[in-house]
Amino acid sequence: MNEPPQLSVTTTDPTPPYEQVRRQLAALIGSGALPPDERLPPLRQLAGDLGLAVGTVARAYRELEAAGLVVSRRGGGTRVAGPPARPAATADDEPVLRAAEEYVWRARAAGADRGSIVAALHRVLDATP
Amino acid sequence: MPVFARAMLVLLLLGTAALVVVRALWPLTVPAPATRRRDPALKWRLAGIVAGAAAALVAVRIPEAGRGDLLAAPVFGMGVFAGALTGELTRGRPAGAVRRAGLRVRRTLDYVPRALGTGVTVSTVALFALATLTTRTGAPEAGGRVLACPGGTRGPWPGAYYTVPALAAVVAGLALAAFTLRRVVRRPQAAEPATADDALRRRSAEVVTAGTGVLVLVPLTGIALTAGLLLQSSEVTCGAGWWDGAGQALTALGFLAFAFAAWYGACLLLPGKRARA
Repeated sequence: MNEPPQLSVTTTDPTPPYEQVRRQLAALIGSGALPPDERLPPLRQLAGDLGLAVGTVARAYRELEAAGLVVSRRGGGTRVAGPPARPAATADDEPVLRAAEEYVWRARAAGADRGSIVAALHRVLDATP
Repeated sequence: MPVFARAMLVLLLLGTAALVVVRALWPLTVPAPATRRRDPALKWRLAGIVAGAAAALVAVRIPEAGRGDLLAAPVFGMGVFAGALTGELTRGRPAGAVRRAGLRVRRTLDYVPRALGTGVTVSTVALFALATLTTRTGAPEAGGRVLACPGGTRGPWPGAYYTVPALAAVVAGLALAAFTLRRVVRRPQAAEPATADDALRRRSAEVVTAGTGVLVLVPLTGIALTAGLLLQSSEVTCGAGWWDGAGQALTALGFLAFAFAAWYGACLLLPGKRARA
């Protein structure tokens, strides 16, 4: 059996624990270590293992859900969200759309909001001849 | 019945001891390395086994025509579960500056040994089915201690007098086992790496499953053998022709349950393959 990915929380780190959890989960989702539809541990299990309050882990899960990285279902737990529905594309712009999707996915996993994602894209476009 | 039941309990202890020796001398896999840290819950589990055995001895001495013998195994099982539960509750909570957690969802089925768990399920169904049958066929006279025949009554028969307290104790034991198993799976990670923690959970789950097996199989042995031997007895003339066959089947079931009870007892005392890995 493969060793499952691990999270760690450093209590002496000034970053709030929920943000440490959110960042690591987002990075694992972005890198593909947590594939789409993978079930995340229940709140109580993860909170107990990390010695955190349930509300702390719940906040991290909520923020991941707001970013579209995970989906919570009543009775079904929290799972990694699948890739977003792809808009209809012509054969010519298919590779560009795929690259844009990947960029947006990774940027969201890193915690970027819509404004920063668009701004970063403009900066790169402006800097590239 | 009490003398026969006690003889069976003594034989069960001897059988369990023999199987423990067999498992210790010829283990299913290489023993765990000596350098592995000792499980702090081990002493609580052993204390539970000792306390359960002491409580079972007290139950056997209940002067009520063999009722105590049927209560012995459930009482023993509850001692085992109490010890296992205490061991789980005394494991440390995550502390220190850096805390780690695996991202795998823990499920009870991942920790319960499959063969032992299946055996417990089948035995529980068999126990309740057989006890319901013998309770319904027991004569109302003598509190269901005898079998009603047209020409009179025959006993001892495992009717309501025996089955009701025994099943009540089994149900209480099963509830405690389920609670303990839930705690084994849901407690916070107590050791690093996660694989070491998983091994601790597997052994605790094996102890609880083996304790449940003893809890269910010993009353099943008692009820099946008592009913089977009575149905085969030449004194019972009230039965139809197939009663003898039913008696033989129940006797065979009783001896099978007896052998499995000894095996579960051995699993309780020595870890199996999965729990050592």
